[in-house]
Amino acid sequence: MPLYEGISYSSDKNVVILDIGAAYTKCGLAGESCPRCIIPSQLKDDKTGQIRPLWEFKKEDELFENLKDFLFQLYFRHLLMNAKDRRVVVCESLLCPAVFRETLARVLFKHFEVGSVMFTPGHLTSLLTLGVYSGLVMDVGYTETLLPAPPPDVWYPLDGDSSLHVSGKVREHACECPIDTRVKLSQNIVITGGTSQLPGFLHRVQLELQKLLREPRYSNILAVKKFKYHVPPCKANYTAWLGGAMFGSLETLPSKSVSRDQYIETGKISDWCSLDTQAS
Amino acid sequence: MTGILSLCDNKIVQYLCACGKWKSIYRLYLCRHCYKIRCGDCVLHEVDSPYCPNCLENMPSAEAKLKKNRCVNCFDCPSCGHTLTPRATSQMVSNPDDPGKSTPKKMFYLACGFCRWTTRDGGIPDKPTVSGGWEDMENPYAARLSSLLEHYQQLAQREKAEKERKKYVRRRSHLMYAASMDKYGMVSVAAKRKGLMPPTTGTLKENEEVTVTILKEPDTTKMHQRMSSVEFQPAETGDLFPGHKHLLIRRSLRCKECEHNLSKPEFNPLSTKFKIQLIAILHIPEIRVVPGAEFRHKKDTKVTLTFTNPVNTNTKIQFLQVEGNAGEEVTAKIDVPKKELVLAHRDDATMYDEMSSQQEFKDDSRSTATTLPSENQEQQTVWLEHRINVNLGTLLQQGK
Amino acid sequence: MEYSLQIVIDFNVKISPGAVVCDESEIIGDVTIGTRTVIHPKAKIIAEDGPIIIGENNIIEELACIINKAPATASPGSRQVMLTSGCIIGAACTVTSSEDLDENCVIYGANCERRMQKEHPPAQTLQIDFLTKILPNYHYLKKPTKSSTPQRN
Repeated sequence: MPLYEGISYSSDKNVVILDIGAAYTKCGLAGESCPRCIIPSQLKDDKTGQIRPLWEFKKEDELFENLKDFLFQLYFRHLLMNAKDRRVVVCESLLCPAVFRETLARVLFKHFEVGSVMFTPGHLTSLLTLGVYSGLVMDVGYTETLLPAPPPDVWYPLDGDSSLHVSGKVREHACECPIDTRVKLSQNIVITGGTSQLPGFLHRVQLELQKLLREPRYSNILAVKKFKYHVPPCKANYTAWLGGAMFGSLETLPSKSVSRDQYIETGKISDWCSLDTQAS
Repeated sequence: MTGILSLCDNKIVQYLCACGKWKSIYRLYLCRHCYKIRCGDCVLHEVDSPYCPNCLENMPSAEAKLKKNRCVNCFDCPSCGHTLTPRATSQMVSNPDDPGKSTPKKMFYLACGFCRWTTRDGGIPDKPTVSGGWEDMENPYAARLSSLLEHYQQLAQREKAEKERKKYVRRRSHLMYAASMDKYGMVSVAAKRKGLMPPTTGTLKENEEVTVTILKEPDTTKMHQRMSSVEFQPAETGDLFPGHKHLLIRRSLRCKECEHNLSKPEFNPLSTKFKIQLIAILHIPEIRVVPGAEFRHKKDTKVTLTFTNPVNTNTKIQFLQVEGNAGEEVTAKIDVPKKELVLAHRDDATMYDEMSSQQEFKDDSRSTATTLPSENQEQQTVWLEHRINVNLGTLLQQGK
Repeated sequence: MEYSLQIVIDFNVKISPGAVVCDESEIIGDVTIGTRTVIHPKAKIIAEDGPIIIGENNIIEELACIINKAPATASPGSRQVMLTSGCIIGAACTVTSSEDLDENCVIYGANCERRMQKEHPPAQTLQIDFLTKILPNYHYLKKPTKSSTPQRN
């Protein structure tokens, strides 16, 4: 590596922001307005030329190899930068499997020797792009729609015979919330995720919600009359990434992330719900 | 032999890398300083020099960073990803001196030779020069994003300042506290005065009526077309916009243990040479198995191995019987030659080793053999011990 | 079904003056080729179960295949493949469906992706001029069929 690279750029710059989705991976640098690349989360086998999804693995070792090859491609084909001693922010789903985040941490720290990693929930970072402190974030991704609450009920007809099974969670969730936050949440809906970019998707969500509001089941218990939506300053498929990119450019990043020394010492990454306790 | 690729993924003779992985010799490096074999997985990869794969021009890494790793002059087709080439046409332009007459003027546009996309398809007007001055599109949210970012930076500074203050309050006098505040003085005061409400204006809307226009298949962009311009993700083919070509890099490799370079390419992208290239095949004898040996149950079999000496000095080879290590599959009894062998130095003139000799292996099925090639270097002699796994083949079925 | 590898001279093939048809191309059956159309060597145009009509200003590149052949299961109906004008069939692309390609349709790539060109680009005529000049230097051309050519019965 040319020596001057380390000198002319302070170590706080060049923070890599990663959002590994089920279908597409968003990757770029902190402080920028859009990812450097959005590429399919898949790998091409060197020998057979077969394409296999990143998330398809039987054993942890297999996932380790997958992630190693995938991150190598990200660093040296797309970002064109060294991994060693640089910081990384990972925007992850709240329900990201533990084995995935642990393996990812292992690949980043042990194989690429990155300086520090911060795992942050994508829903939270999505709000960061709007400058609001509370909102209802609905992430309409490739395999799952995530709201921190359970099951479904809306069918979004795609052409042909496939339909997309979406939400219903917005209303359920709103019902479960304390009464004084319901109105606020209904006025601050943020819809993210690549699937929500389908033409007419937002319109359909709005129609469904209004229809449901008129039903007695909800009109009796909800004081909500209207729903309002935020328009994030970006395309819906990288909203979470953008929030991460904003967070990654802040001075407080080092205090919120796990350094390599810490990781080697403790050998684990604490879950998002206990992030506060471990932040120094 | 079915080509170079099959050679590189040689599964018959594998060498043990220092990191514990079995690899073909073509995939290995030899660190000259720790005398250990390294593989692609246990060396540090580093970005060496960015270059444009189309015009093959080097770009200093500082400039590449500024340009977001994109070439200034070359463009990619937004429709298929092929490189765009400038095309010239002549256009009639009305003469400013004599409005009645028009004169032909050379104008340029970009066209794709593969899918025939042109900048005219994207509704982009022709340019008067070859290199164009093709404008980049502006992110429509740029102002909003920068004001948000500024706000968060103020918050972060405040948080940091408070943390510092707590530290100082605990330990030191108020004088020190004042000093510490001064460090962030102007900024944090300004932040306070501004108030810390984030700029959220204009982000809320109710979902307006969407007029769903039915797009015909050729009019809708494909996923790869959208993702080639992440910032704008055009949904219709008419909105496609040429993007600057992404740069590639040359990588250099470094030993993780001693931090010496194992591979360093020349700076010039046109050159295929290396400044440093410590690949194993240039230092360690290569072993090949002569095919044709037939293995029968409880019968002795001769197996012929060939050794190739890549270095310019004679190399001595000694064979050591492998001690049955756990996890390694040894399925045959092997008698390795006791005698020390000498491999003649590489002779570039003949490309053949004069003294390459044959060894006899008494063997009756698949076996694991371990050899100990050594390496002569200038002045000093270094003995290197390598563990090598040789897959000689399978046992013939009885009765054949 | 196998086709002979030799060049088949078929009297049903009608080539208009101004078209550039390389002799190494394989053209069989009821094929009409309009003026200023270029057919590269090793292109295959086979009209088996209906006519293939190629209009003006089309380019059919190397190893492209235009085949009008009804699938075995379908009952033979009136099939017709038609390239209107300004169409480009890219190298090694195939057209086997019974359809009329719209004007300025480009078929390209390994998956035979399609796109429509917005305008009839002048560059295409330039390219045809270029190919008209350059192809005879390296390839034999099929002669345009004269008006006295026997018509299809």
